[in-house]
Amino acid sequence: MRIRALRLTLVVAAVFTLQVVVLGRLHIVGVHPDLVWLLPMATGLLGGSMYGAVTGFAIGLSWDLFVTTPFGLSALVACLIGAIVGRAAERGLDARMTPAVIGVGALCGAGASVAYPLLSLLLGTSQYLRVPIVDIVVVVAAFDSIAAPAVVAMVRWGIGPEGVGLSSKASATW
Amino acid sequence: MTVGALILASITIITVNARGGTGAIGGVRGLVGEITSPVFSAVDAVVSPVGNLLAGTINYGRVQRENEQLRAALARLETQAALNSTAAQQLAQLMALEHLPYLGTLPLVTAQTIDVNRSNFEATITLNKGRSSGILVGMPVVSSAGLVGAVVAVSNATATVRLITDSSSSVSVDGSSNPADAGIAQGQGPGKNLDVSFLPAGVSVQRGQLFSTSGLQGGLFPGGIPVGTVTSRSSVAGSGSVGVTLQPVVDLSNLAYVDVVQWEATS
Repeated sequence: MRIRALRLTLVVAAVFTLQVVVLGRLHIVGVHPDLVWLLPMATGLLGGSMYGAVTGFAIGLSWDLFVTTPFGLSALVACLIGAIVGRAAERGLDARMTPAVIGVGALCGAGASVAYPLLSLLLGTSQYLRVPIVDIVVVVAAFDSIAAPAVVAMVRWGIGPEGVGLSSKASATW
Repeated sequence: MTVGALILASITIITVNARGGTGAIGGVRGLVGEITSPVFSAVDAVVSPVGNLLAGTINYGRVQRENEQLRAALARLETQAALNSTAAQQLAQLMALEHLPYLGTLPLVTAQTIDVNRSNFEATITLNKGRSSGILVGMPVVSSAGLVGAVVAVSNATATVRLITDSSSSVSVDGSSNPADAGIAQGQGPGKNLDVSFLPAGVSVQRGQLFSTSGLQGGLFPGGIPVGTVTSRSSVAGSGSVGVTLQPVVDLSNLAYVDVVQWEATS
């Protein structure tokens, strides 16, 4: 259990570093790729809705420490991604099917880019509606679709060969 | 533990933070920045030369042309700077007579940019100097061309600057020396122009006109710092005001070094 947590922490740290040092400086039409949303997607896909929601919350809350956007907003978005993808995995979405992983990666990137300003609006902050959301959705979804299989492979290594299982007992209650 | 409980926890954290609990979070963010900054810098030192080599090889011709253009621009600017020094002295005297803070007389801390915005929903940079260099939250940040933004978080060794293009940034600006003609320039996201609102209907605005910080009493910035030039103008129907779009005078996508103005809004 501790080994798994340590390995998963290493994967998260590696993705955060890649995001900050490399991808944060790579601008396409003023938007940079965003790998962070693929982490809760991968944990949900490999571990189910409960595991995806809990790790998504922890990953999002950690990411909130690196950005200046409202603290807790990334945790909320990542928790929802982990839970939704985890529920889909419990209902048959297979992490070994590369086309499916690519598609889910694109959906997560696009979904997070839309959910971020919409959730902040629901919580009383309208400023994120002024940013070019369409550009962000297109760039993030395109890059996340390409990077999704690699991030899933990294998270699979982080979770370890035994996995966490997708049993009905591990399913989250809503 | 259910998903609902985690969602509730997230909303509680956001709400507590929005209701003034930013002090503790700001401290933790600063501490995390202080710990991770050397790690990111070390990785950057390894990764950057490879990236620069590739970019330099691919864009060699363009880099050479840019170098020639920059040399020519530098020569022109040196001449202009000599001409401007007299005007700057006169402006400083006038501002002093009006008891307004003037940028040229305020102490500056030069800092290097070590990081750019990490989220697509923010326009920020991180500097390699912080509290130990006298930088405090709220201090304006400028480059040689004009206003860059303001410090929003600070640790001992680093400072986070919110750029004027950030969607939560608002700056009081005017295109003349009349405080009654001031409007509010709001950021529209990274790489986008600024929208100015609340300009009085009768105000004269020309394409290419320079807008600077108004320096109104109680404002967040000292007066006279160039912010942007007018790219378009429109009348806001029914409000009796004018809408203006400004292109920032500073190239905010390419900030290697900036100056933090040691000035506080209350001073």
